[in-house]
Amino acid sequence: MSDFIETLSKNYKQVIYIGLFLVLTIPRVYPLGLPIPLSDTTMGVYNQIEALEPGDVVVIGSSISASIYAEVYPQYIAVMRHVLGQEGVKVILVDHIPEAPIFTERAIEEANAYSYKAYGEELVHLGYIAGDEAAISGLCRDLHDLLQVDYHGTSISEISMLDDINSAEDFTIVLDFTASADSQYWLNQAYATYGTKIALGLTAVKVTDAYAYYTAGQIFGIVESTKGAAQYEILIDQPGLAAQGMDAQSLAHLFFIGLILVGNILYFVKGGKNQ
Amino acid sequence: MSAIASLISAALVIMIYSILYRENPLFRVGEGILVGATVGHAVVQAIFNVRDLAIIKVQQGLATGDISKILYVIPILLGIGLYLQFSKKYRYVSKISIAFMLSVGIALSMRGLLYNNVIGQIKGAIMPLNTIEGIAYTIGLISVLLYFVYEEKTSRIAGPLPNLGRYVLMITMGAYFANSIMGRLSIVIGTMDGVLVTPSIYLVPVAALVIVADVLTRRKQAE
Repeated sequence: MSDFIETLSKNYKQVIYIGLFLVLTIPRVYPLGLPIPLSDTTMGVYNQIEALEPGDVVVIGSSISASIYAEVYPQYIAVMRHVLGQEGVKVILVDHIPEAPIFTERAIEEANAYSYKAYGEELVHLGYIAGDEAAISGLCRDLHDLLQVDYHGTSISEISMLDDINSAEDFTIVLDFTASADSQYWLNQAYATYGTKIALGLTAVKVTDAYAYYTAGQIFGIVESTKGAAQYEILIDQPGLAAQGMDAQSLAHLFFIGLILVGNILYFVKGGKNQ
Repeated sequence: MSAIASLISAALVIMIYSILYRENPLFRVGEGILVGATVGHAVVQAIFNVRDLAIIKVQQGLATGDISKILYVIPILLGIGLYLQFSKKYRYVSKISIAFMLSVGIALSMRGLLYNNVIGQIKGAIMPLNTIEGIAYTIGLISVLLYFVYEEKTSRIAGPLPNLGRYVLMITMGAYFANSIMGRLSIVIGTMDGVLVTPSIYLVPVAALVIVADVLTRRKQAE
């Protein structure tokens, strides 16, 4: 027994890696079908989008890069599919980091966006706008003054859907998918100045901070990491990669709880502080 | 074509994850490709942004005589000024650009930050005490605030509340850490989704064989 504990103590990294690999891959081969409960934060986003009416304007911001792709992209595409399905709703896509347009274009293709909305009439991709908070401020103040062309190089004055959209006063809701500070920028520039309703799609690390805004009623919803993406996929009845990954996520959490327990037991078996 | 793209993507994921075994040239190649592609793309996007957000406006201003558009030459000059950071003689010029950027940033965010993070949060903190959630929230808020009161008399009057605040903080940090774990796992699951599909999955046993061969070779060399 002591030999086993000794070996485990020496090679704990390998044990964690192999254990983690197994708990993450086994549910891919044999799906467990664990239930995915819905949270209020996700429902807040879903209900607000369901309540949209023809003519409403939805701005979808993105800071998706390779590093947060796995966590935020599934929620981005699930919410985009839902928004695209709302008849007569105008959708403005905008990116806050240089990498983001790649993923936005990919999402447009994957969600088959042009079959729901004609480009320039109900859908536009503005692309990456440099300037962080100043860019979002400019977009909220007067997007015609800020921008000359969209992502594809089409002149803004030639895009008919933008004729009646000038500032954040014309935005019905803003949905920002990020792990960066641009969620705060939208709150500062659109919510604080124009009262525009905002919801966020976030990485798990950022969710705890965002709860302060949610509890205070400053944002109407949060799509939380892959968990939120899975919930959203269930809500729109299009289960995808996030929903499939929740079995693995749940098992991995149990694995970590097990590791914490084993670590503590070994600590006391080996004599606690005295050893 | 998509199969080739999928294979390349999976190969890069495995190359990056190979750091879990040990530092190796394949990891460094993967890392280099990621950094290079990101920087290259960012440079191109930056050039397009300077063209679309400033140069075109200056050109239009010169053509129509619109002063407000000609004034976009100022941010262009301030941007060029930033590069004088690399010159010992003219470094002071870059400080003008940096000072401008800082002042604009602070001015832009100040109103929103005060509204959202001070007024909005105080308004949000005043919860009705007719639910368990509201009572727990208020006790947690008061106890944490009292924990950060360093005045002796107040701490004495507050009794066990500051101590309770300490535990509330610990629970909050636990929530932060648990969320971090959830996030990291989501990233692993998401990247593995690209690897555990045909034909990419065939790269996994190949990678495992390479690692086993390396372990055996190193063991032999050690003997």
